[in-house]
Amino acid sequence: MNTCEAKRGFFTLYDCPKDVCVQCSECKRQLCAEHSDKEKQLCLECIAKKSDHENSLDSASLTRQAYQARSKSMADKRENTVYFGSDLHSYYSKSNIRSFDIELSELSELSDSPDELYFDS
Amino acid sequence: MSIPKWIKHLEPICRYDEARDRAKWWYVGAMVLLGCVLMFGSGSVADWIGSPVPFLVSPILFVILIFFSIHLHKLDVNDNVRNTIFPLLHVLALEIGHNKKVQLKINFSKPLKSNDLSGEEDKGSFFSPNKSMFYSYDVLELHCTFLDGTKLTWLLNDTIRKRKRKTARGKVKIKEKLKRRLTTTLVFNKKRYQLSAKPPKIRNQSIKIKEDENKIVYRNTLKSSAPGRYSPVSMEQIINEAKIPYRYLSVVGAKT
Repeated sequence: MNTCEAKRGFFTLYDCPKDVCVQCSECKRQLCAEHSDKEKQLCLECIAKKSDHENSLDSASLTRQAYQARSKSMADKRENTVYFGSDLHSYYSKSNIRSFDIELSELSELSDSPDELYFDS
Repeated sequence: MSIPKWIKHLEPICRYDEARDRAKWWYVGAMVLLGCVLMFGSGSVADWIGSPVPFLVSPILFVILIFFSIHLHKLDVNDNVRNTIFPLLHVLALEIGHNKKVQLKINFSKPLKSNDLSGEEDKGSFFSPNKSMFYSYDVLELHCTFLDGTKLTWLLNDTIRKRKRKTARGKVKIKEKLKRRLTTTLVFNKKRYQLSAKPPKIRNQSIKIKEDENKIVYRNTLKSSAPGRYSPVSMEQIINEAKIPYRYLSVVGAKT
């Protein structure tokens, strides 16, 4: 089974390892349940692009705002967002993204190291 | 606590704050209306029933309502919790997922009372003494680890300065100013990242980068100021502060 074509992360991007269950009718990407809205048949990023700024405390609305902030940050040429993976979909603008062929599992090993190692100084 | 747990914990507080802020002006209007009704109505009611009790009770009732509204005012939550910290958690949920723990310390209250201000300092001459009082508190302290192993710390501190000045004509002037300090610390693992560029000097910012065998520590302090006691915190600015250091880093041991 294919894996989701949406990217995880905010400051850095990663491949989503989850299995595909729906296709976005807008961008035609294959997506997992976490990155899509099954009822609307759209991905969360396309929904975020379409929606205006809402002043709501709903979790869905705030997640849309988070995706809007990510898209805005990725569109900024100065940022050069780091992407860990090898399969960057054409949905993302390659000119503003620096791709590095590293698997998420390799990164997770580092994140499990004890905090004392980092915060000792 | 994980991010979904924090969101679940903070949501009722934010909803209370939203409802309270929305009802604030309605409440003031209702108080004014009630005051008028009590003032004019109690006299005629007392006259009608032939007893002075309503006339005596109405001012007491009004005073009780005023004390109740002051008490409600003290229960107000800092608006930055609802407008900045709560949406910020949703942004972090994209980065670190739903299982990783986030250490969070939030100050819900606003410095409302004059007792909150401390650290009195006298300045000026004998004839025109100036007094400055300060109140400092941490709005937010957040620690978390990203999926790439980078450790993030955000520390947001507000200091309110209240300056009392006596003019030559004898008038007392009071001015309040808020000084904000946002410290962002990111600790990168050297197995993954290396420094590729030096950050330029930016006004109002002090960027410090330290390196040793295992890690690169990036620390930036952003200072800003605003008149008054309260100023909204920009979520975009907080996020941006954590995004900036990636500009000066490159990834080790990867094909580009």
